[in-house]
Amino acid sequence: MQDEEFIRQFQNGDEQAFDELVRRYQGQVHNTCYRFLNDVQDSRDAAQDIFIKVYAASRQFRPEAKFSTWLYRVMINHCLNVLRSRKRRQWLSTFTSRENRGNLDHLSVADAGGNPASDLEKAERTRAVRKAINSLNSEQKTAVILHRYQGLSYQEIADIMQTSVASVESRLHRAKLALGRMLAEYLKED
Amino acid sequence: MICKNLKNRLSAYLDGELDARTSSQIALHLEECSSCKFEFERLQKLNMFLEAEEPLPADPYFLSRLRARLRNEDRKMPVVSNAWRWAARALVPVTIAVGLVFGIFLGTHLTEKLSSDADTAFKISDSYFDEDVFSAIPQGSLTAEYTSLNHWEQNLEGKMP
Repeated sequence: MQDEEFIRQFQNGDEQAFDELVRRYQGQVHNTCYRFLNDVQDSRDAAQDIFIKVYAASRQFRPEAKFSTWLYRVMINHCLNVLRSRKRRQWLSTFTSRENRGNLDHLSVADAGGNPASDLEKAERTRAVRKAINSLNSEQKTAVILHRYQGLSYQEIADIMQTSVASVESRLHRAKLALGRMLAEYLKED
Repeated sequence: MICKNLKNRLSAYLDGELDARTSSQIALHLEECSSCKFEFERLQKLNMFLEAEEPLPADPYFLSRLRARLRNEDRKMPVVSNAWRWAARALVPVTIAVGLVFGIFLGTHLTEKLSSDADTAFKISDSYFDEDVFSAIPQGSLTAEYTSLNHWEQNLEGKMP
């Protein structure tokens, strides 16, 4: 069954239909939040918050729209808001271990078994990629995350970001130029 | 195709986002141009590098935790009707307008008060200081005394036989 049919059923009071949508998208939402926030716990909380927002705002969903586009829009706005408030908090207080914890989170995921040296190298590369992506502006970052990690087409990204395909192409092109510069030393090694 | 234009479109070409005609033009150019080919290979490497990170493992308790939170939110959330929400939104421009009017009133009032204060200050200064105080040789100053002495001496010399 199509997502739009599930949301229509949910709008008519079928709670099971909402659960089905959550099952379908929880992985994508959680992973995308993780790309934005770089912290497993924060991204889990954010994913929950996003579905709560979707639950509360389901009446606003127009039947002619695509559910996934709407969901992604809610998600991106939420993640960017979390990043903004995190920046404010960082500005107000001195650096806490929160950000560092975010970086270390991935080590626990990556180093489950295998060669410790290569795991360490992998963690180092992951850190470099995250740092590089984080330094992009929010539009470029969103385009890169949706394209590279969610596998969305330029048209889908344009719909989510409410812009043109040409603009998405240009954002991705500039983002890759910047990423190429920042990750130059790692790209040389390969 | 000019290299600069092509380089701008390489990323979209690699992502399979270009139409067949443009794609074949780029493919042909890449066979001939080593600089563009180098750029293309760099982009390929970058794409692979970015994708190296594995996705997070699925969370089996996600839905049950979400349901628990939804039950809690339902209990906690005060019921705010749409009318109140609209009223709250409308309050923002009203507050700004009131602030502006108050600011203009305060500004005008203060300016009037300041100008009347300035008038009073001028009057007081006029009563205390003679205009002569600000002349080139103020009355009672050493220069004035010296000048008058000088005049007196000259007069005296003129009268002497």
